[in-house]
Formats: sequence, structure tokens, C-alpha cells
Amino acid sequence: MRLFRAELTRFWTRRMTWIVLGVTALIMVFVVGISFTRTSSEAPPEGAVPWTVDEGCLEDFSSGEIQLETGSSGEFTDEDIELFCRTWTGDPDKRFWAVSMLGEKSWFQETESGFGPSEGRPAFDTWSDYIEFRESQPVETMTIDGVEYQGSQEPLLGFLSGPGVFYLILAVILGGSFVGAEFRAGTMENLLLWEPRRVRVILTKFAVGFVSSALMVALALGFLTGLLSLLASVNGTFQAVDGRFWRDLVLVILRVSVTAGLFSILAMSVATITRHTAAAIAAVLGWFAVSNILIELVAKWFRPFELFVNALAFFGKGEPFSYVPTGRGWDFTAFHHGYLVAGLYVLAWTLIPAAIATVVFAKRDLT
Amino acid sequence: MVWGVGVAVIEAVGLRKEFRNSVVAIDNLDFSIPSGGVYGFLGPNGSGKTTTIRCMLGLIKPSAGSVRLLGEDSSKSLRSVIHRVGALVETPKFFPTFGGRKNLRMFAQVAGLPNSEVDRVLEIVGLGERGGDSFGSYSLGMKQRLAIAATLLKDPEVIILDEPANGLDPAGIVEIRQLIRQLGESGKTIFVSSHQLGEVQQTCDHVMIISKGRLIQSGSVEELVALGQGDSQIITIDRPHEAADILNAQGYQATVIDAATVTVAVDGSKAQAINETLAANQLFLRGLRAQESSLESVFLELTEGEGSL
Ligand SMILES: Nc1ncnc2c1ncn2[C@@H]1O[C@H](COP(=O)(O)OP(=O)(O)OP(=O)(O)O)[C@@H](O)[C@H]1O
Ligand SMILES: [Mg+2]
Repeated sequence: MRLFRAELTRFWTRRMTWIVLGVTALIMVFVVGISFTRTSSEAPPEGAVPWTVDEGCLEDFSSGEIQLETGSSGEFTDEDIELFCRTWTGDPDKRFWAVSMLGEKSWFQETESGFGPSEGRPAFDTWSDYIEFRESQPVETMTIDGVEYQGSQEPLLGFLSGPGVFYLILAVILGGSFVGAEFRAGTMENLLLWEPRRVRVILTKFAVGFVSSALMVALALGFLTGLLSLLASVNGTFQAVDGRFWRDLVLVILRVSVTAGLFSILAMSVATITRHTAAAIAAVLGWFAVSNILIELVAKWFRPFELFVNALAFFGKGEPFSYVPTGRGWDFTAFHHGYLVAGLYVLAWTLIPAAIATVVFAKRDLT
Repeated sequence: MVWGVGVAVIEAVGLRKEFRNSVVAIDNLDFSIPSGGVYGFLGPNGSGKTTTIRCMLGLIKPSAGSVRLLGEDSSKSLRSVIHRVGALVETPKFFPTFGGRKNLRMFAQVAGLPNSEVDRVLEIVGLGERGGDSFGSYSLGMKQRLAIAATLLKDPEVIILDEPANGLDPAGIVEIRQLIRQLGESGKTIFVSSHQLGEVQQTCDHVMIISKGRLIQSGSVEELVALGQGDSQIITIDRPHEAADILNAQGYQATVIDAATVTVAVDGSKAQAINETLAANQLFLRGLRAQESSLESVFLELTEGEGSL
């Protein structure tokens, strides 16, 4: 416990910790500052879908002026064409608070490209309405070679799937440098002259890194929530925000923080094995950079097991999918496991390197 | 080799360390260090001093044999005795952005010592006023002083110092010498590796010399100095060969060193007689000085040609 406290003190008095916190806060202020110019306190359009179907576009279709390439799924229906010809009638630059907060459109569901499988959806008065609607959507299924596959859900809380990686990177930098600095300064040797039980030393460091990184990311997200609330009260609206929204928000922050803590353990493990901060950070971030490409090119089967896929699914309430070849030149994205199981995968990704690092550290000569 | 009687504070038995690059840093080392006093640990660069110290402290695992510190096997059960041991290994290692005081406070916290202890040891090494400055901004000697302060923090019974005088100014060297003597006299056991043989001769009671990882000599400082060839006189003269022949004919042991130098293995009481003998043969001295046997000359003789680099 004394060692834990000493290490905790070190974590929170390190220059790196405050640099990272400071930079994060600056980025957040900047991003929220930009959001300020893009939000509005206007009420959302009354109970309506802010889409109209452009008649000119439909005419162009019927006259053959516009043609869609026939997709593998066959001919286009009139409905598809209508979707394609929809025009956004809301002000594209105005976003409302719950929107910027959770990244999902809580009043209306915008389809990604104006054309696709999604239908025009009703406007939602509250966050709960939106979530209920999402959850009530039927699950897509497909039978391939006699096996029925379930489609996978996109993250329900798209909020952090993008920026979430940013917090993970913070945790990796914090964890990697926390242990890496120790090897660089050679102080690990000193520490062992005060506490020679090596397993205890390394596990304490993991615990401190986990708790501190998680706490730090929670602090950062709390700060962001504060900034966005401020923004909403000055230039936005809380109209769609309800109890469910706050609960989801707190749970998302918790999940992101825990994941960040785990990533910090991962970085600390690599730093222990390589005895180098930069190597640890490069290894984790390098993996992030290449993993998608590798999966797409050589190991599609690996996708549902991959670290970042699971991390993003875990905190966004998504479902990692696996590729199932349909035999028609494209793959069906089938449900593989739920978001809680995804969390367990992240845990495994962390604990296995941590165990290796512990063994290596316990056995290695320190010179 | 056992010095004195009583329970050994540090004891190595058949200690051997072969690194992965198949460098044999220590080879079948046996020694036993009793409680109390200052023990010098000497050897040329690369002879395995630091490696031996790391084995003692459990930082590296011996390839064979074992070393016990206060009765506990260093590679297994140091925990129960580590609070009685202070050590400085090779170079001072602290967090560069933290102040000296803060670096020590972290260790004090781990050991459950009050912060006042930190201030006490900083005073001892003369860093009281600079304790707030970052370790990275310290001079070489200040870093060394901080490391020595760290070894004193636990008020240990056994203090292991790997070249403690490294980087210290003359006043610092004298301070450390006094500190080591004082600690040794107060009943603590000090094990100190060093290159500064004059220092060792002045501070240590016993000395152990290793070379290429093997123990080549150990004993009290007096015993070791007595092993030397004794005192000699160094003569500067124009015709050294003639001079040497004349002296050897008279029963002296004279050796020509170079075109103007001859050494004669006698003590200073014979200086006048030598001068007279040579003058009687029309050979006149240009200079004569005495060279006393010392730990340094003994060390150089013993480790001659043994440079392991
Ligand atoms: N980690 C290591 N890997 C490989 N060889 C090593 C390692 N550490 C030390 N050695 C080798 O072991 C030998 C003894 O080194 P050691 O540091 O113990 O010498 P030393 O007596 O302390 O020398 P110095 O007086 O220069 O401090 C040297 O040949 C050195 O190169
Ligand atoms: Mg050395």
C-alpha cells in the first residue's frame, strides 16, 4: 500500500501527466469553441422529418438522365430511388446539444449518403425515444449455405467511437511513459533496493497506471461534459436531454475510462518488455494504424477479435461483426458478439501481455 | 577467504555470472565479509565489481553459486533484510525532472520513513539547500551526493557503495572518506568498490582485489601493502647502465628503467651510501627520490597484464 501511494504520487506529479491533461483540455476547449458556431438554440422542426423528395431528381430518373449502377442486390426499387432523391431541409450547420454530445442525431436519423438501406425515420422528442427506436429495429438476417446469420448493430452510442480512440491514445502515452521513464532513468534498479519483490512492484505499477489513466480520462470527459453543457445553455438546447441521456452518458464515460485504464496497462506491459517508452507507444499506436489494413487484406477472420474493434464496440455499445462470404462477391457482416463480451476481449488483450511482462520482469537481470 | 570471525554480513560461494553475450563477468568468486568495518573492493575496469554488487543485491541472478546478504539468499529472499541495507550501484539513478528531495521522499514513502529523515541525509551530504532543484540540473558530484544520501536514508547496517567518490571534488572526497570511516567505526559494515587506491588505503580496513572476475588477493591493508616489493629509490643519472653495474657489483638490486633512470630496491636509509658509491666512480646523481610501496603499486603489480578490456 505504501508503494501504491508512492507510485500514485509519482504518477500525478509527473510533468507528462499534466502536459497530457493540459493538451487534452486545450483540444476540448478548441473543439467546443468550434461547435459553438455550429449550434443553435432554435427548437428542432416540429415532429417532422426534415427531408423532402426532390421532384426534379425523380424526373431525371424516369427520363433515364440519372442511372444507378445495378448493385449486387439486384434492381432498385422505387423506394431506393426516392431515398436517393431526398434533400435535407434542415439547416445543415445547426446542431443541437444532445447531437454534438452523443454524435447521433437525437431528433432525426440522417442516412449516411442519402442513399442506402436506412429509411426516413421519425423525429425524436427525447433521447429515450431515439434509443428505443434504435433498439426496436429488427435485426437483419441472412441465410448463407443453409446457416442463418444475424446482422450486427452499429454502435448505439456513436458518440465516442471516433474520439474514443483519442482517449485510448492518451492512456497509452501515459502508461507507456510511466514505466518507460523508469527504465530510462534507471530508477527501477533503485526501487528494487527498497522493495525487492518484483512481482509486487510491477503489479503495483499496473494498478497505479490503470486507476490513474482511467481517472484522468474520466476527468477529461467530465470536463468535456461541462463545456458542452455550458455551450448548450448559451447556444443550444437541452430539449431532448432526459434522464436516460444522463445515465447513458455516465455509463459511456465509465466504459471509456475503464478501457483507457486497460490500454494503459497494455502500454505499460509493452514498455516493461521493451524497456522503452517510445517502443511501447509505437507498438500500440502502430498496431492501431495497420490493424485494419492487415485485417482487410490478409486476415478477415481476425476482425471480431481485434483489440480496437472490441474497444470501440465496448464503449459505443456496438457489436463486432465477422465477415461471412455470401458467394456473391461480397461479405455479410454478421453478429459475432455483444458489447459486454467485447469488453472481455479487451481485458484479455490487456491481461495476456501484462502476465508476460510480469514474468519477464521477475526473471530479468537489471543492469 | 574469511576475514575474522562471526556471522558473515556478505558471503559469496562459488559465485559466477555469465551474461547472455557469453561474457564471464565473475567466475567462481568466494568471499565472506564479517560485520563492522570498511571493506575495499578493488579491480581494474571490467573486472566484475559492479556485477558482483548487483548479484549481492538481487538485481541480477547468478549463473552459478550464490551470495547471501545478512544471511538471506540474494536471488530469493532479500525482502526480510533489505531495510537493513543501503546501496549505490554504478551511477546515481533518479527521476531527472523531480527534485533531489522529492526523489528521496518517494523512497522514504515506500519504506514508511518520515520526511524528516530525507532532510537529515540531505544535510549530511551537503545538499540541504539544493534539495528542491531537479535532479537533472545537478552537477555530477551533486548527483553522486544525492545517491549517497539515498543509501543512508534507511540508516542501514550494511552500506554497499560502488565507486562513491566518482565525480566528487577534493573536498567532497575528503568528506566522503570521513563519512565512510565514521560509519565504519560506528559498527556498520561498509563495502566499497573503488579505483582511487590512495583513498582505499586511507579508508579501508580490509581489501579484496579481483581481476577478470576472479579473486586474486584479499587481506588487511597492511598485509597487502607488505606484499609489495618494498620501497625503492629512483635515481636520475646520465649513464644508467654503468651505474646499475656498479651498484649490482656492490650487492644492490639495481634496474635500468630508461636512458636516465635506475631504480634500486632499498629504503631511504641507503640513499647516502648509494650516492657515495656512485660518486666514487665519477658518476654524479642528477636526482634521487624515494618510492614507497603502496596499495597502488601492489595493485598494479597484482593486476599487471590482467586488464580485462
Ligand atoms: N548487461 C551486461 N551484458 C553483458 N556483459 C556485461 C553486462 N554487464 C557487464 N558486463 C560485462 O561484465 C564485465 C564486468 O563488468 P562490471 O561492470 O562488473 O565491471 P566493473 O569491475 O564494475 O568495471 P568498472 O571499474 O569499469 O566499473 C565486463 O566485461 C562487462 O562488459
Ligand atoms: Mg563498475
